[in-house]
Amino acid sequence: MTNEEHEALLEAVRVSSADWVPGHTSLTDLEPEERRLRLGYNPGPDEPSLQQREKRATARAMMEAALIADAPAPPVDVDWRSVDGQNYVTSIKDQGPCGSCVAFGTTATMESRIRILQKAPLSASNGSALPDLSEAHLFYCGNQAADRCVSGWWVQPALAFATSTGVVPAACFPYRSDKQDCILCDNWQSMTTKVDSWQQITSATAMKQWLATKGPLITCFSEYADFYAYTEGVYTYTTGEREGGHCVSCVGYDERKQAWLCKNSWGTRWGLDGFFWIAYGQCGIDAMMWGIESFATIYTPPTRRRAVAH
Amino acid sequence: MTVLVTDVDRSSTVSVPLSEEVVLELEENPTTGYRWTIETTGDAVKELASTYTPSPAAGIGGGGRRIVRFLATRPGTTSIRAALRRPWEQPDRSINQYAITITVAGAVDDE
Repeated sequence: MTNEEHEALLEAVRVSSADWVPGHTSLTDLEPEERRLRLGYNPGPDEPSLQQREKRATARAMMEAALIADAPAPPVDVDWRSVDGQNYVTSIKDQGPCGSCVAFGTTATMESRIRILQKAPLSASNGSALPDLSEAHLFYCGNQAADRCVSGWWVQPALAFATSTGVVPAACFPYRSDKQDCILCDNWQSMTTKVDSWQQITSATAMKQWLATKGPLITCFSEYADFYAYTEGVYTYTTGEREGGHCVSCVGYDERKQAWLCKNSWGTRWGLDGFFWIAYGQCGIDAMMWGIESFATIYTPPTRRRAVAH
Repeated sequence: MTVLVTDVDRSSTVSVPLSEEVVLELEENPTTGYRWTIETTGDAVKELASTYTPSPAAGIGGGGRRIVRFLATRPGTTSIRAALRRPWEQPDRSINQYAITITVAGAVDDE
């Protein structure tokens, strides 16, 4: 970059009131072609183009700004296991040794959102009418990878499957962790719960507002070697290697703890009966989360009528 | 030279020269809570390091490989046993076991 180009850039930043300061760096002195070679991200065949990503990011930022401006300040704490004494969080599940956490985080979030929309907490008279959803359907039918349990998955394709195909009740395709084939029960098409709309949220304030008003969120984070040893308290990274990405359902937060409350899928013997607190900003936990706004269909099994003797 | 042992060497006996390194590589997915715990019986080899390498192509929840390096420190035999389990669960709840015997030959030059 020549001095003239640098001066022009300084002026452009000043005029636009942008909050960053340009300077000479190791990259600005490179030829344009060499500089382009150092740009990392290249969207895959099924991903939006760079231009589409920019448009979506701008629209999303505006939407989030509107959401934050219109909504009241989020409360000090939220815990969907106890809202007005009612529990909207379904039981802790166990993914076993299969890398299916994306499916577990997604179905857990769907289950809670359905219960909140239907005003059907677990203990209510209508609480048992809503079935838990099939992580197996989402993971073993929605994930097209050859070795799904080893390769893991991503949240957006999981939500896309939950939107286009939907997810059947767990009883229609019970989950096992030993690399199942996609084999569903008879008439499964009539038993699906389909997502209608969902949002990706990238601001912590918007995440808290969503949690306070709409329900849990899907979230993913970098898992380090010390995480498995968590038993209680607020987790912060202390030591060990980064071992990969993990996905869970965020079911609350507490401003006094400065932490998110999450539902894991490692059974009830781990952590706080399967749940954990993680400090704001730790391990990318709040870099982005996904919320489910509405459903196109919510499957409720037909009520069995008791036979009456005459 | 390094001697590499993997899942295909399960339950076998492998002979290595003195002072050689033995590298044990096993598939692992710690994002599920399951990881290999290693135990050795005998002092022919000494564990140097245990590291985990995620697969670069893995998505969220994807796995990788546990790599445990041993050094053949003296002539004799060492049994290496590995169990894939969650550390907070009982040891008998492991879902996979691996065993290998390492025989370290004596150094001829010492005679």
